[in-house]
Amino acid sequence: MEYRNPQVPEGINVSATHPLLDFLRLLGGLAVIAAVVIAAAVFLADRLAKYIPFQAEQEFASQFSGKLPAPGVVSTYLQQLATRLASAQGLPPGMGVTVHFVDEPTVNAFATLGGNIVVFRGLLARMPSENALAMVLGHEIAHVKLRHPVSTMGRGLAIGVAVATISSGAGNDIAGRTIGHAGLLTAMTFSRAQERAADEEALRALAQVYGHVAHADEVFRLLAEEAAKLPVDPPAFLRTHPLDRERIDAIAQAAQANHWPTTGSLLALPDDVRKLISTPGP
Amino acid sequence: MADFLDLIVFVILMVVGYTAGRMAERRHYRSILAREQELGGVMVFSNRFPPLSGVRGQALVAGSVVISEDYFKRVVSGIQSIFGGRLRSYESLLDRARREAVLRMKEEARGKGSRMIVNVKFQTFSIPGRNPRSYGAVEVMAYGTALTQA
Repeated sequence: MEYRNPQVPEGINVSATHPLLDFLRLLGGLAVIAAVVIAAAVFLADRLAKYIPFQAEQEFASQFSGKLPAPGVVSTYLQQLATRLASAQGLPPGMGVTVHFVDEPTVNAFATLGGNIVVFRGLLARMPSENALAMVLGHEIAHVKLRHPVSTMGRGLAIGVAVATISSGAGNDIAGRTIGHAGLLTAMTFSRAQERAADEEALRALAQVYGHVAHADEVFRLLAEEAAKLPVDPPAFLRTHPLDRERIDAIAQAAQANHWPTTGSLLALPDDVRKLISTPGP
Repeated sequence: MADFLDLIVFVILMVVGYTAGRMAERRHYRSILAREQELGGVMVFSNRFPPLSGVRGQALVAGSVVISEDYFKRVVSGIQSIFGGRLRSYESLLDRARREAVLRMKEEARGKGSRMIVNVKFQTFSIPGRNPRSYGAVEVMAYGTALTQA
């Protein structure tokens, strides 16, 4: 009997699909998963944040709020203004805000966990009036009132956990880390809807405290100029907020709809505060 | 910044893994096809008993190869393991390993003057073991009994 080992045809054990096409298809699948996870996290974080007691948020924040600078003349003034605005905004019982002044040239202000609001000298020094400053503070107080910091943190945590689960499932170190960082970066900022809601709250408080909303839009005009000066690296306050033009328009619309006067007498910042912020250093 | 660096490292590794892996695969397949033609005279059987009479001598012959994934294949297979389905990125890798192992075994048999290997078996061994965080590499070994005829 004659034996032969014939040449086996190619392509039986190996798929002909191009590896890059395969990779793109998988990336598409991952994008779908990411979209679903992020949508679910945002949806749940927004709805569940209000059930987290404010006291728990404060306790959590106490572990890092000790690092903020001690109160001084400027922060006492800011705190007084914030307290007036907060009572106008009607914060629920047990909720309060603490304003911290940071003596750095950064043009920024932000609200974070536990009702802590941080204002930088760079922003304060550019405020043309107390009314404009009240708009900034009112905006940050509104974030606290609407529980935006805690819902943002919840969203970030949910996305982080989901990403960690997926990437450990994929069993890949650097790839997983890369996806993880990207996910957390997108979660660290307030959403546009949150910014808009905070703007509206701040306007209402302004109208209540001063009887008009003059200089409310001045803040955004100033910040837009500031951004134009630094085209390379705009301050975080600008980058994460809706476009200034849109916000100025929204302020005008809200003022018209609620019959809030857009002109009125403006208050200047107190002299001792102005002196302190115009020269760098404590 | 660290995130950005991570991303750059990741992209570079992916590109290097893809191009290097792709080039190695093309070259290897060319070599496999040529040597399969060349060693066509040495036949391989899975039967335990020789299909012929007049055997003069026999010897154990073996061919072993260790093959590793590239970074691109590793990432693709990692994502694939979420969705399931054919692990296409590993199919060509293992196909190459099996055929290379058989070719090395055949070369050894030919060196012994044999034109027939019976009772051929395969064995594989995962080099990093069961540690999922480690790299992926596998040994594929083919062995059998080379017969020489009178």
